[in-house]
This record gives sequence, C-alpha cells and structure tokens, in this order.
Amino acid sequence: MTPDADLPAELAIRLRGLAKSFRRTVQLGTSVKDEFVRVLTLRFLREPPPAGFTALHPLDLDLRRGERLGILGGNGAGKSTFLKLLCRITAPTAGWALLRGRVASVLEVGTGFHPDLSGRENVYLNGALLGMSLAEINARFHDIVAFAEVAEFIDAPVKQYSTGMYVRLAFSVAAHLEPDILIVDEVLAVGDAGFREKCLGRINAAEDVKRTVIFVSHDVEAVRAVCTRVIVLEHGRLIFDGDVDAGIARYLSSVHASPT
Amino acid sequence: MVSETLLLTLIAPGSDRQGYFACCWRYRELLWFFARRDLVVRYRQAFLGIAWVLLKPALATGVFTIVFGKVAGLTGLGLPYPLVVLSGMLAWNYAATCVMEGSHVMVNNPALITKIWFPRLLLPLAGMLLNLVDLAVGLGFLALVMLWYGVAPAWTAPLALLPLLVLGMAALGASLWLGALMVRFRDVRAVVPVLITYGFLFSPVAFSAHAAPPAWRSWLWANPLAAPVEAFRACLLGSPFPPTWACVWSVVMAITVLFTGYRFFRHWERIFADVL
Repeated sequence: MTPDADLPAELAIRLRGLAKSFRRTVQLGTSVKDEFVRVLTLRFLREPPPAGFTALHPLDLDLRRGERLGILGGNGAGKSTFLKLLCRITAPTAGWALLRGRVASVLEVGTGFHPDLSGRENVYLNGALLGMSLAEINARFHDIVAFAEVAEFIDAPVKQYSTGMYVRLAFSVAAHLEPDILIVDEVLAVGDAGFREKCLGRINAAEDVKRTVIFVSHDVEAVRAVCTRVIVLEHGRLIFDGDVDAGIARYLSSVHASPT
Repeated sequence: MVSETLLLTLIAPGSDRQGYFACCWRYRELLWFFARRDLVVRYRQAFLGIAWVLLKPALATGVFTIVFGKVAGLTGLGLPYPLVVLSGMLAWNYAATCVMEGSHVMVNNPALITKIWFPRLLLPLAGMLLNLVDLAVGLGFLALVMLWYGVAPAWTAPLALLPLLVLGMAALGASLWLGALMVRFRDVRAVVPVLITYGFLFSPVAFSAHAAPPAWRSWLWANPLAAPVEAFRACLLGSPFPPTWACVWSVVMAITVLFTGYRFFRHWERIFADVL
C-alpha cells in the first residue's frame, strides 16, 4: 500500500494502481427507517450483495515536473473521479499516488462564494479555501482584482455583480494560485472569449516556473492550447496516453463511435 | 497552506488517517474566514441586526419567567426570577445553537464538500466560534439586567468559562455525531430539533435545579447537560452549585461524546463527498 520507491526528482506525480470503486451500499437519501425496515424484514438476506461499480480502474501514470496533462473522455469516463482522488476530496479504494509540492485544485469556479459578501471578502474566503495563506492573498490581492477588472466594485456584494464579473473575479482568484501542481476542471466553459484567452494565457504562463498542470475540458481547442500531453479515459480505463494531437483524434473518434 | 516546495503528498486508502490535527492547524486561517463569513452574513442582512440577538433571549426570558416563575410558582432561590432564566438561557442557547448549526452544516454546504478538500471538522468548529459572539452580546445584556436588579456578580464569575467549556465539548461531540449521521440519513434532520426541545425541558434552563422537588433532583442531575447549565448560573450569580458527582458525570459524558463523535465523524468524513 505504501510506496516503497521514492518519487524520482524529475517527476511531479506518480500513480500506481490508483482505483476507485463504490460498493453502492451508501446511497443518497436513504432513511434510518428504510434501513431499519430492511434489517427487520430480513430483506437484506434475500437481496443480492450490492453490485460494485468501478469509477476508475487501476491506473498507472508518471507525470514529469512542468508537464501539462490534458484529460479527455466522455461523460462518465472517470475524469471527475480521477481529479477528486488527486484533490483528496474522495479516497481511493486501491493503489497510491504520490505528489510533489503544493497542490491547488479548481474543480469549480467560485466555490464558497457568498452572494451577500463583498468581492473583497469573497476573494479572501475563496483564496483560503483554495489553499492560499492570508499573507499570500494580501500580496496578490491587487493583481487578482486588476486581472478580474472589477476594481471599482470590489466592496459591493457579489450578488450585485453581473455574471461575467462574478466569473471573472472567481477565476482570477484561482488563476493567482502559485502551486507546484495545478488541477483545473472544465472551468473555462464560463466567461466570454476574451477572458477565456486571458485565462489560458495565465495557465500557460506556468511553463517557465515548471508548474505541473492537470487540465480537464471538453473543449479540445483549449486542451490543444494548454497541454503538452493527453490521456483519454473511457469507462474508467486509460485508453490512450501520449501526444496531444493523436490524443484529441483518439478522443473524438471514441466519442463519435459511442456517444455517451 | 504553508508548505515547502518539496513536500510529498501520499494518497492511498487510509492515508488520510494521520496528521489530521496538523492539517486543521494549517487551515486555521480558513476557520477564521468561515466564521467571519457567517458573522457578516448573519448581521449585515438582518434588519434588526444586533438587536435581534438581544431580543430573542429577552422575549424568552419574559415568557419563561411567567410560565415557570408565576404559573408554576418555582422559586428563584432569592434571585430575581428573570436572572435565573436569562443566565440559564445563555448557556443553553450557546450549546443548542452549536448543535443545531453544527449538525446541519455538512448537508447545507454540499458545494464546498464535493468540490474542495479541507478538514471538514472546520465547518462545525467555525460555527462554534461564531456563536461565541452571540454569547458575548448576551452576557453584556445579562450584565445590564443584573445592574437593573442590583445584583452583583459573584466572585466566581470568570469560572463560568469552565461549565461553558464542558457544554461546548458536549455540543461539538453531538454536532459531529448528528452531522455525520445526517449526511448518511436525511431523517436525522427531523430528530435534531426534538432532541433540543426535550433537552431544554429536562435541563435546569428556565428554572433552577435546586428549586425542583428533592425526589426529582437527582434524576435531573442524571442529565449530563444539567450540571454545566446550573454551574454556569452559580458561577455568575452565586446561586448554589450542583453536587460534585453531577459535575464529574457531566465532564465524563462530555469527553465521551466528544471523543466518540470525533472518531465517528472521521470515519464517515472520507465518504461525505461520495454521498452528498
């Protein structure tokens, strides 16, 4: 279970057999009563053991420092599970992953934003949630606001913001994280084209500081613009690992072959 | 949050079992931001603002003074009856609000839990921190009422923090139990207010335990929340303290609930994101 080999110096991430399956025993919205009745009527003896569902089959992967990995795959391919495992939101059922350096993840733009709070207060809260220290937020606050182009409204409650302003501010906080490993999920689907370009540029700027990026998007052009390597997932399995253009082609053909 | 570049993170089944407190400590600033967020939201939008914090115990004190002091005719042990009620209400409301909010905080914040990782323990803790503000305002109000009745605080007043600590531990333990259960079983939502209502009636909140018939008194002390509430009142107002055995019993129970609640919460915490 514990990795015996160290993480070689040139690697940022190493996965060995990382997998996630659900036993399906834990379901949303069951009640104590349901559970009680199930036990009382001995129904649980007759029921077949709950079918397992594997969201991610054992996955091996080595990612070098500074690599920018794109993950492609249809809905239910296991992309989100993969990211949530790396972000520690959910725990793996087998295998291990070793990550070097500070990890920051943006699975959603504006997590923790509260409509009644001012832009300023939300920047601090969201920054802390994303793993920035107070000192770091203080140091970058001006840049964050300038990048989002909301300087004059920064003390107004964000419920008065337009959708564009809201998204810009939320993304800007995430864009000013300076982690060693940045995990980004489908967050560029929002915002206008100009701002999107700016964000992609911001992610790409990571190149010179050897930042490792893991990027999930359905937008193959964004993947092409950001990534240096692509993996394709299908039904929780790795079906491609390699060059960006070949990966995109593989993804497009798999999506068109079996629309999921 | 503050970590070296070469920090290694291991993700494996069970790898989250170690270093939890160190992790909570690293996220202490987030705890502060959570508490601040809720404080701002609670007071900025509320029309009555801070007055509401005073109005609630004031109204309750009025009502319970009539019900318990006049109708039921319980004695205030030589103290003006409203003081008996108000002191009990402050201690009880702190614990009750912490449990009410702490147990709901996970199911009320699914976006946070499914999209971002941080020690989930911070959520109920932030609520407990925030509720201290209400408590402080309430204590200020109590001081005014004491002034009005010309009752001087007892020299033991600073010791009131001790029963409060016991109540806080019990409240956190209960929040962790109920909060983790609620993620799994939604009908726990309906149970929490019932527990709080009966807890209120069976604790010496709106009356003093010493005013209860002697035959019932030891039964009352069997409720582990009774002694801290009574002790809080005794520290502030100089009314009689609960018996030592009741205090010991409360402390033992509070520690037990907190410890088991923490273990239970930690066990379920790893699947919160899968279930919510």
